[in-house]
Amino acid sequence: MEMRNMTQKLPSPRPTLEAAELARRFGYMPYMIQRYMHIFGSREELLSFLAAVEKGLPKYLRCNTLALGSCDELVRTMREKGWELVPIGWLPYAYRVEGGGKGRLSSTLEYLLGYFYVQGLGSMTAAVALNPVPEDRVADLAAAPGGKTTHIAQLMKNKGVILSVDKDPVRTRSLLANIERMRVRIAVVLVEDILELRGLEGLFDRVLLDAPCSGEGLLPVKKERKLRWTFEDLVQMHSLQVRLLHKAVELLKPGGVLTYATCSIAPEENEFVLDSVLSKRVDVRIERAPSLGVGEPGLVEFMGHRLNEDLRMCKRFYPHKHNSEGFFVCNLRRV
Amino acid sequence: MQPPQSVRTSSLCSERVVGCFRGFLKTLGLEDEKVLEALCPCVYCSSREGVEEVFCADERVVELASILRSLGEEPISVGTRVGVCREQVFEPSLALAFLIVGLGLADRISCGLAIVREEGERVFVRGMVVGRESFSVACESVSPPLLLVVGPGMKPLGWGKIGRGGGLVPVKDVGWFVRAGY
Repeated sequence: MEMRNMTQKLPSPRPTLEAAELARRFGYMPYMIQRYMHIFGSREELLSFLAAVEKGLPKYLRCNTLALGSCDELVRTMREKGWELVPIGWLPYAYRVEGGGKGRLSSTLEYLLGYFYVQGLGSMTAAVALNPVPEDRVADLAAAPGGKTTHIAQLMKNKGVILSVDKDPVRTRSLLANIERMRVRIAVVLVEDILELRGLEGLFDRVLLDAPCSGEGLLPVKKERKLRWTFEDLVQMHSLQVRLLHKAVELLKPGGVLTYATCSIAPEENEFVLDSVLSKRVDVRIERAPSLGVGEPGLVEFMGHRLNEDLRMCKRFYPHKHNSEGFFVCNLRRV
Repeated sequence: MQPPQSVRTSSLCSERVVGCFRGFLKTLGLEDEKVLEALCPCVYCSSREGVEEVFCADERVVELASILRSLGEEPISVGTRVGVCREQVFEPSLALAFLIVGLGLADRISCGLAIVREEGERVFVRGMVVGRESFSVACESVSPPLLLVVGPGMKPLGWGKIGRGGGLVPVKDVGWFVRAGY
């Protein structure tokens, strides 16, 4: 795919005076605010989002039933140590952490024994949207450091097989450590560039592509990102994401399900990526993730560009609405 | 030593390496074939940087690893990495400790088990020697080279050995995850 063909589809934001003023006030690059004005549609909601970014996020963890008989046991032992775990009703095994015990969560014996994984709420939606079942053959692409591989294994009850691929050998060490700590028995780990995979076409029941992205959704926890990414960087990222998604689709069996996820709220990295792939393929369609009832709908219009109507079935998560990092998930089925 | 029919071995595993692994399990008292089959339905091996890595996995996992190898790819982990065989000595992993306890096999271990009390647990996971008063062993008179160490409630804490002073010396403990920065 030529870069020129990719960039023609992406609307270029020209900041208004209002956007420039808000950018100065909150410390962003003006093009970001201009885009947010279109994402959120009203100044009121935009200000609500910006305030939520400044406020930051609570900490969340996922209780690991591969290591524990019952999450009630974890709640009880952490309470004894000064942490209150509040269940998130719409996300199984997810808890908000309140209070503060002695030391760090990651120094507790419970953490070392793999009883829980510290994970963002948005990040936890990816495996839930994928909805793997025991005996599936699943591919987790860009798998390091292992939050989603370990979550997928938990949902599969350690039955079946997961191919966990990452191209970074250093980050893969974390993946291996987390696989060990979280008692995962069904992962096959490969250090490889996804785009270099050959011979695995049509092999998998489910594929998760947690695509490399700008991380724009992580602003509440990484505020330096306000000034880090230019629009040209987003364009480059979009191009890579489109290539990765085409590759990921190829790995699916007919009838298989792919979940595309990013920790970004950028339509350029989400809806425009899916729109590009859908416009060039007849073997995939978007479908709703049945296990995920919460979330804002995907965008079907952005800065004057109309996109595929089915993108409404995708899900967006925001700090000001869901108390989570910004996140995007969307399911595709190979027909 | 011929591996039994019930535990399958991938063609990558030499008899020597399988013998190294099974010999270690024997020191713990885990010799029964049914126990071995539950622990390790398929043994998969890989040679990396001069050491032989041993993995336990079920057939579906080994099948995918085999597909990858047929495509010229070399997975770096297949199922549960139970340890390495280095110069004919088996070094078990924390994952093997988790697997043995998770499958309810710790009570099958004859002399290879050390149970630490609560105060000993805190010391052990910091990689420090546990005093004699803070742990008990299954067999007082016989001590295998390595012991599976569990805490109150049979929590798997790692592997240790009895030191010269009679204390329990951590060889591999779960505190490693935080000391290594993970």
